[in-house]
Amino acid sequence: MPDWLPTFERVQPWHWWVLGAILLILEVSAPGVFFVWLALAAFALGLLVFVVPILPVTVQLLLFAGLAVAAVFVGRRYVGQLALGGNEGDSLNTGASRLVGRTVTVTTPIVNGVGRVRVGDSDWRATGPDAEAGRSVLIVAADGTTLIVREVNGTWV
Amino acid sequence: MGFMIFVGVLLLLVIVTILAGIKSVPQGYEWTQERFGKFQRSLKPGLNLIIPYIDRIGRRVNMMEQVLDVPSQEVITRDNAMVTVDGVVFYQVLDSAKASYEVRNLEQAILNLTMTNIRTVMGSMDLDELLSNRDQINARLLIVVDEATEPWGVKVTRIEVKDIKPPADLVASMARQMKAEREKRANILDAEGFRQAAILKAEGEKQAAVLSAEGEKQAAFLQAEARERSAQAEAAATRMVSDAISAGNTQAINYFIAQRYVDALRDVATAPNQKTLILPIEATSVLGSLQGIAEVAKEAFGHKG
Repeated sequence: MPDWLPTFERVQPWHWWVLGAILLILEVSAPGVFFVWLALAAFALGLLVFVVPILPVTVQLLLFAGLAVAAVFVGRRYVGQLALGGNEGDSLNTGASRLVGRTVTVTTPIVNGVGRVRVGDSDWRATGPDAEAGRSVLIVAADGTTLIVREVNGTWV
Repeated sequence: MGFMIFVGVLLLLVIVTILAGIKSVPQGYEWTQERFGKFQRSLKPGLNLIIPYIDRIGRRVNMMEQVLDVPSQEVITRDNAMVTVDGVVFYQVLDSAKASYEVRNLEQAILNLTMTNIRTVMGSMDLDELLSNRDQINARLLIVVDEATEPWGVKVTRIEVKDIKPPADLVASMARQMKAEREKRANILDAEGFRQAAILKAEGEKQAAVLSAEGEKQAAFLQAEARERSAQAEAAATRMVSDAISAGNTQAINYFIAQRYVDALRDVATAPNQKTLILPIEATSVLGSLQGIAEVAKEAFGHKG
């Protein structure tokens, strides 16, 4: 058995770092955000072992487990902060709410609060105050596939 | 050593737990989270944490707009023509929870709904209407299917009828009809052309006749005028001659006549026809005219002497 391999008696800090590197490589090649947390834990533990070299291997492994869980929570908060700053993905797949603020034309009269409006080249179900066909309405909100509209005062199309 | 095994298992458990608790949802999808099998919430794209062992990922819903091909089907129109129709449906899931749990097989549901409604809408139309009112068909289909899929959290954005194929013999007779229609138009146009040409020709002839009559009339007028003028001139000349005669002597006239007479005789004599022989009717009258000349001369000389 070569002496550079980690044993149950002794694990060097760089063993952990190598493990972290291998985990990062796995993270890139495998889908899903998973190995990166373990890699972070491995790097942190390597640093700890570097500072306190006398830690037994069992304690090191327990610490690794604990650090992995901690890395998930810390990392999530950090990723959350990353997502706050100018994330363009928020405007994608937002469903009907992307239509809020547009003025559209009623196609099927709104009777008893339900009718249809024309948005672009398609036709949407709409709820709002009763209005006859041809009337302009403003989309104020979206509920699933139904648009909530209110009248644009005094505008005729 | 036993403790080492325990630590190893614990580490494995932690890794599995992390694996079960961290879910990163790719953009364009929403995953449903089920707690003990009951729907809890929809996981949005990005990093999500769920409680391991009690939460589970239920369905992975595609939130992008999708295209469904509506396979060809035979539809009978109101006037009993059998046509083959296919189409496309564009739809988008807007509510992942409803799309997951309110309907069992979303694609199949939308597809069947569309196919039956294509039958309904087209069955209420004549073939000619069918071929010329696709916009209307699309709009009607869209409204019906969209209303029906609304409880499933699905927005049907577009339904298009792609191909309407009548049977081959029907297509052939349609082509024949069109050809006949065009030939009819061509014949009518030909006839119109001939008619107009005839009218124009007649008009031309009429105008020509009128113009030539007018020309003749004017010419006649002018000729009459010319005759009148020449008569006037002749009258004037005669008057002048008679004035001259009344003022002068008859012998002067005789001189002129004699001159003409002699000229005429010379002409007769030099005529190429040798058989003609004209004798003066009255030789004496010629001599008489000569006498007239003599008298004129005498008078002239006498006047001088």
